[in-house]
Amino acid sequence: MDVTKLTIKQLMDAMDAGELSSAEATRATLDRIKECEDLGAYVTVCEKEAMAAAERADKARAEGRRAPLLGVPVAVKDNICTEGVRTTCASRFLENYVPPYDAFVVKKLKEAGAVIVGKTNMDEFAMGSGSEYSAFYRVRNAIDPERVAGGSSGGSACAVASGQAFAALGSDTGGSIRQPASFNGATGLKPTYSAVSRNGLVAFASSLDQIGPIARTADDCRRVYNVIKGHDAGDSTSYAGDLDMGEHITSLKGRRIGIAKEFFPDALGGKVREAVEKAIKFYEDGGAEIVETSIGSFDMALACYYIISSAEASSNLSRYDGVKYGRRAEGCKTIDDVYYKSRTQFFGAEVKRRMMLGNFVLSSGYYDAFYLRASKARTLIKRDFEAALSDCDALICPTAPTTAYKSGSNAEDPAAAYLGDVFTVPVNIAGLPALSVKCGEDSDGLPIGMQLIGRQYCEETLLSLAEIYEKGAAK
Amino acid sequence: MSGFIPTIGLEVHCELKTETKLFCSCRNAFGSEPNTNTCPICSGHPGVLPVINRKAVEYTVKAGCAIGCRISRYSKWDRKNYFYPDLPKAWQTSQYDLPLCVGGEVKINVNGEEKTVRLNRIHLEEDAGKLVHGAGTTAVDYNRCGVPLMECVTEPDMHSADEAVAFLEELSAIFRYAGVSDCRMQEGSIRADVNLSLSRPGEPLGTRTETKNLNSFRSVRRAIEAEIRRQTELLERGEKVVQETRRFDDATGEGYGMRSKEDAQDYRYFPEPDLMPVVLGDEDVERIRASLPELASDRRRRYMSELGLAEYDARLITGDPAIADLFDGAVGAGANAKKAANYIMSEIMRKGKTAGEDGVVIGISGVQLAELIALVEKGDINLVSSRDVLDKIWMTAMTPSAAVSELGLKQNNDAGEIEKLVRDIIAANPGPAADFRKGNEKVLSFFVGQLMKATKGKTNPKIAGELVRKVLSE
Amino acid sequence: MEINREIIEHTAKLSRIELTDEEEKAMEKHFASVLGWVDTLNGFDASSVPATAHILDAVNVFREDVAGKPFDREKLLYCAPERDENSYIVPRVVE
Repeated sequence: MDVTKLTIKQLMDAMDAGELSSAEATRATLDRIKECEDLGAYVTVCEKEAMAAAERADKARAEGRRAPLLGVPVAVKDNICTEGVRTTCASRFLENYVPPYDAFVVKKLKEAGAVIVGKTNMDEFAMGSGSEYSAFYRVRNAIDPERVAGGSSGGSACAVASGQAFAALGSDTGGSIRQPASFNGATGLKPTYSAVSRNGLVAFASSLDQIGPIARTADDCRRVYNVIKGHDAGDSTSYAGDLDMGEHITSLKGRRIGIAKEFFPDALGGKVREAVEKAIKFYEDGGAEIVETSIGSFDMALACYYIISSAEASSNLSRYDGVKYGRRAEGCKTIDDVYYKSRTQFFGAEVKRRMMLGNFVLSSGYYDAFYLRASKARTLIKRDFEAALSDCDALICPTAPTTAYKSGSNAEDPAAAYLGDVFTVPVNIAGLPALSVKCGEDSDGLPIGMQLIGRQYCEETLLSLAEIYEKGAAK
Repeated sequence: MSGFIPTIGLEVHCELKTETKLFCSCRNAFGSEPNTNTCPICSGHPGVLPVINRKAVEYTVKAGCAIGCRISRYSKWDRKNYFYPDLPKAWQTSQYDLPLCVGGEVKINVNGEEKTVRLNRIHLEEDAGKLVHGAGTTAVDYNRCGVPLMECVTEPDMHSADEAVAFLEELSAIFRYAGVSDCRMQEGSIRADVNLSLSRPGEPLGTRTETKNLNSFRSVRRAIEAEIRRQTELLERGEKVVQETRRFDDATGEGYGMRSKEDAQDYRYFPEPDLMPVVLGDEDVERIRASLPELASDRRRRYMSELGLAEYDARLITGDPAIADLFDGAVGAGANAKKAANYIMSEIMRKGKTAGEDGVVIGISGVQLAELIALVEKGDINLVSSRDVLDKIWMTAMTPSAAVSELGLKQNNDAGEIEKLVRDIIAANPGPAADFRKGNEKVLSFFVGQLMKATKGKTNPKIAGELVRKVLSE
Repeated sequence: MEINREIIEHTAKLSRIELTDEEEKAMEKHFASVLGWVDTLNGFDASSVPATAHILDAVNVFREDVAGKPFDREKLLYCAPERDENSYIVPRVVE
């Protein structure tokens, strides 16, 4: 038995039955991390802390205590603060930054008995879709190391897909959980905005960021999601109401699945289209009704997203100034030196592009034409999704227009990479939950993901729909 | 006469006296060791999030109610982005287009003339940290970062330093009465920026300059006077006033332009995504309004019309709510209003004065004061001894009469006993006694002084004086 | 809209970033690509649509004015690139 390939449920059952200890599972995971070092999934591995946590978990279990993730080795994206464990956001700026506090979700993981094995690699400050923009080393695709892992949570997705963690936390601002999950054949859930506290998530775009799980199955995602979700008085945008508005669907009969035509443009590649259409057929064959619908504002989403996310990022990343934490450039004689030299030296090119774009769209004379207009487009996009979803349980579309591409494909034109976010960004703009689950492979054997988009706080609807697919399609 | 009229608008920043900061639960306290009242949130660490202090919002609304602002039913938060080492997030969370309070006015009295200064708005924002400049380096202290700050923006309704200072005094008094801010200039809890331009009568306003961060009424006055002089000289020489941000150096009494920043004006305001809007219902506003105590101007009117105080006295007594409360307490305990006012102005304000214009510390209750005044009135103690009593009971619950007996200060009013002492002293000083008989009246006070010295001030000076004259005239 | 070098330079300044000549050129091109998409936003009447700053419609999210446990100053200063015993240190700031 390869321990590292178990689902969380299988692992928990084995540990509860005394067939396997958390120490063994954690050891196996750490060994696997070492074997897979070339994939670049981790920035920091917490071997000592992980083994100690595993032993504590084993002791607790022996004493008859139980917790939802007791003894389960998990990974955390390196933009989520962990007290005493450096949190770099894969940036030179923060390569020595050790947070003085734990993120809300990290506290929740620890309370649930999870064993944090390490911090996963990513695009610097979560800006990117390939995990090629890590300041340290790129993340390789778990299926084909010549290809990108997707991003920005590429390390989390790669780790889960290659047995280097049973589940991992990612963050998703415009697709950063779903797209790498799709590229590595994993399942990733971006929860409704406000369902998971952002307290301790290093902000990229505050009105779009959400933390969520990447795991090997929908059920594993559910287990992690149920641990990390919930109201946090320390996050003013955390939802205080009922987070369980979804349904646990067991039969597809009478269910309605929406297909918005904008998500299937003519240019959509054959294999991706084929796989997603086949998955839709699966739901239809199972008794679901397929409903044609439309997101008329779809074309505005990409511009809307890049304006709003860059604007918020330009402000959020101004705090990296070489004064309070992180790196400061050598030989600074004035405070302006500290700012200019540190920020010029320690930020990567993509981060600079986004910050500059953001500062531009907010700057005097351009605010109305760019930022304000995008904020209004956001209203229209949100309305369109609400209308479409009022009539069905979920929308289905591809997670990404392509499968994992060769590393370096977008080096000449960074804006071209943004086009790959076309199906995921509208969901963040509307603040809705969405999930990516594998629905096929292309001719190179690379995984294809389909995206299920649901109503606010209806994560369970998506998780159970994905679960039905995972079980049914395997037959 | 230059013929120029100065036009002045103020931006006044008042720190609210909440227990904690605006967005985190660090203490809002002045004078702590550097960086001891800080946490990841107010130090701007990665990943931190703000949560609004309810009391800070209520205090701002209360301040707005006190000066007749319209209280916004919907207000929101915005980020004002700029780099400065005292601003750890590199943005100040503030309110841009929808502040908590709009409009309002303050009545001031300058040289007997009443004027109205209109407010444009009051918004709530966070204070920045403190920089301590050393040789070659600057030390950064974030204790003040995130302290709730009201920014009160006036219309350009003032035309002299006197008016500006009168406005600041009145605004401080109002906020102290409302209990929302101590307005202590020395602690930086109230600071002002001065916008000033000159123009000729009937002509449009000239180019204005902004002198930032003045932290005493005296600096405000001097900075305005210096800036009026400077602009007048420029204009008279036919030169132009440059729109700029200036500082005022208290040591030299001169203003100077700040190092120009090309992008100084481009703050890139946008809605704060981490904070939800504030929505107030009529009942919220009315509840806060109802919690306002009687304000300075109302009390002043009451003291003049009901208690017969002169305007000058009423103004002095109402200058600080602690003094006015003491006055009300003493009158309530039976003291004569005019006597109480006099005693407060002559004795209490001297003793209670701690930090110049920053208000007073009162260590005595109204009941204690009423009794103390009664003791002086009855002649149990004299005015000079009353200061010793005041020292004894200050910051305690001791009654003045208990202090009098403990200190053995009870005044001797027994004419027979005093006459005996007078005779002894005159007998011991034949020279001065002879002088009196030759017509030198001055020696009378010599004998009273000797008597007071011999009895440690406990003799009734009035009786003593009469008896000295009587005995010498025998 | 036309993106020119002046805009790039101003924006770099706002961002406190220095760009080489080549980087400026690349940035100009990048701005042009991304801002080119903005045309897609011009198809609706902005005056009739309110802006969305928050997806949530919650309001009045407050905390009570109660002091928390003081945070260990050393844990914060420990992170600073330059410090003394009790403060962060930067090159002397000239106003």
